[in-house]
Amino acid sequence: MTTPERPDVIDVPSEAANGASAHTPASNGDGAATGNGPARRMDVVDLTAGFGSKTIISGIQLKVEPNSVTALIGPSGCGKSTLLRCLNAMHRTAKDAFVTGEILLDGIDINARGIDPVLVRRRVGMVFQRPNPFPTMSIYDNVAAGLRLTSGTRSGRHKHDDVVERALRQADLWAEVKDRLRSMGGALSGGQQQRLCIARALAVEPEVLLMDEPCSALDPISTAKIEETILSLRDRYTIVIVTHNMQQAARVSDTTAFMTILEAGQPGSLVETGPTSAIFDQPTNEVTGAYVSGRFG
Amino acid sequence: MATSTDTLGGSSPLAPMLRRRHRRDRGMTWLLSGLMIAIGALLVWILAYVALKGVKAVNWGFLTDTPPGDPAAAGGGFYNGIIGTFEIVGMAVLISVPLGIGCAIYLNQYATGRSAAVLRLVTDVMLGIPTIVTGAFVYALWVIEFGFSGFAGALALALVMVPLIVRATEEMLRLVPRDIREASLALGVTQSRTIMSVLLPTARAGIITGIMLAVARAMGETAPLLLTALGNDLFVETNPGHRMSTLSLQIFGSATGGFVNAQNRAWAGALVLIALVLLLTILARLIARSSAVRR
Repeated sequence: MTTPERPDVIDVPSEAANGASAHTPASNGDGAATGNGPARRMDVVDLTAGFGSKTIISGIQLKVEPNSVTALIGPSGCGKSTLLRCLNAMHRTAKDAFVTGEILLDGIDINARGIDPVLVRRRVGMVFQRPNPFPTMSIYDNVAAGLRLTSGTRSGRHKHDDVVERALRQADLWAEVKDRLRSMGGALSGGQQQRLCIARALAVEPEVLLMDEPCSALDPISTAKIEETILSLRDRYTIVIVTHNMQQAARVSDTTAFMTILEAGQPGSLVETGPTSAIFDQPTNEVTGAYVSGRFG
Repeated sequence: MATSTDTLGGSSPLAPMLRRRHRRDRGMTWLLSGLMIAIGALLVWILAYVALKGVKAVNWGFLTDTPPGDPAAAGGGFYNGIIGTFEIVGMAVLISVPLGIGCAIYLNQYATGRSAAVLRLVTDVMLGIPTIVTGAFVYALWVIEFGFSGFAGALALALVMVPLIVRATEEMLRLVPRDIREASLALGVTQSRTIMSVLLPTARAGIITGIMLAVARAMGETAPLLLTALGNDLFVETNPGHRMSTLSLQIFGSATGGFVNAQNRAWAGALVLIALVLLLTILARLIARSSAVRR
């Protein structure tokens, strides 16, 4: 459960910059061959977040274990996506967004003063609801984009063949695109685009992968492929997935957290967290029971 | 009238309403088609008229000679004006494009409520300023001190172009889906790198089109140049520190002079100017297209 101390991962900015350059695969070349760093645990402590005067979620407590899949379920508008976007500091990129409480990545608060959210996002990757490959880039360039655009130098032509192949294999897309890596990412089907986005997120070797309803825009066959991918990634990553599909949560996740709005007008809160089988078979909270059995929401 | 009304049967209670809709649909189709044809015809008329009038005086000499010393004489050309147009508009592009794109990026990515509102108001007002006033402004600020020059003309044209480029670029950046920007940020890419390597390339085709519109506008501007570059029909001037001629200034000067030969040269100049704008626009389109696909 506890991972070895690696103080270089996130630290005060000056050291963090050094840590980043030593850690970025682009800079040491052999990063593709070596395995990933260990998956990370995340702890959310009394998190409240929102925009301006509107609080979206409040009092969230959540433990995300390494090498596991944690599913966030709950009705629309209960703040699942907001919680997810807090985990990589993406929430803070919006105007007048606020966050209080702590989000600990291996014990270090990612919102603390002196922590660069840009470096946090290199450790905590994200896949979005709608596939969003970069429209001006080829399949190859999409996967390599994270490495190229974070390398600090302008050497955009750097070769990343190994990383691109590994990431595409992990995302289960390699066989389908290996002969047309130079064609545009936007030319793929929706399901392929989403797997391309997963490959793009994996190429920078994050420790945690956040997925915001990654299958909601996809057909059942593409969904099944992505679920297989998620299960195969569990060995190396910590995964948090938001989903509206309870069967999906049951299929892919080890832990399930149920969020809802308990009273109209109130911010969303996290009602219950537990092993997925327990949440679906014998939830302790009656609201959870009502939701997972389909009696509301 | 073999339309849906017949297939439904004339006795259907809906038939009168459907007939009404059908009539209105046809009426609007005719009206809008007519308007489009009218506008298209106007454009063709202008182009054809200029081409007919101008083609008589356009020849190789027109593109390689300066105007004759005696404006009443035939022959000669606008070579110095062509050079001047390219040089002055080129300098104006160098000034206005970085300024305009930078300003648009600031508006789209960084500006908060009040500074954005003020900046938008300023660009709106700049768009509305008559260009002769822009010329007078540069005259007062630059020409009085340093004299008439091609560079002063470029300054005036840049002032005309900046608000156009700001507006076009900002619109194009706004069209880039938020998803694309977030995809880049989520990879741990800094905001500045996201702008340079993701947002601008994605919006590139539209931005180039906007810049070309501004360039076309600047190439045809005459009023601000009268007070800044002034014109020079005696010889080919390439030093931007001296007074220079442009196609637009030569068209204006020749057309208002009252000599038939000069007026013919003015028509030819107008034709060359239109051709140049058309050529540049096509070129920019090709660049925009190839760069969007190949990257």
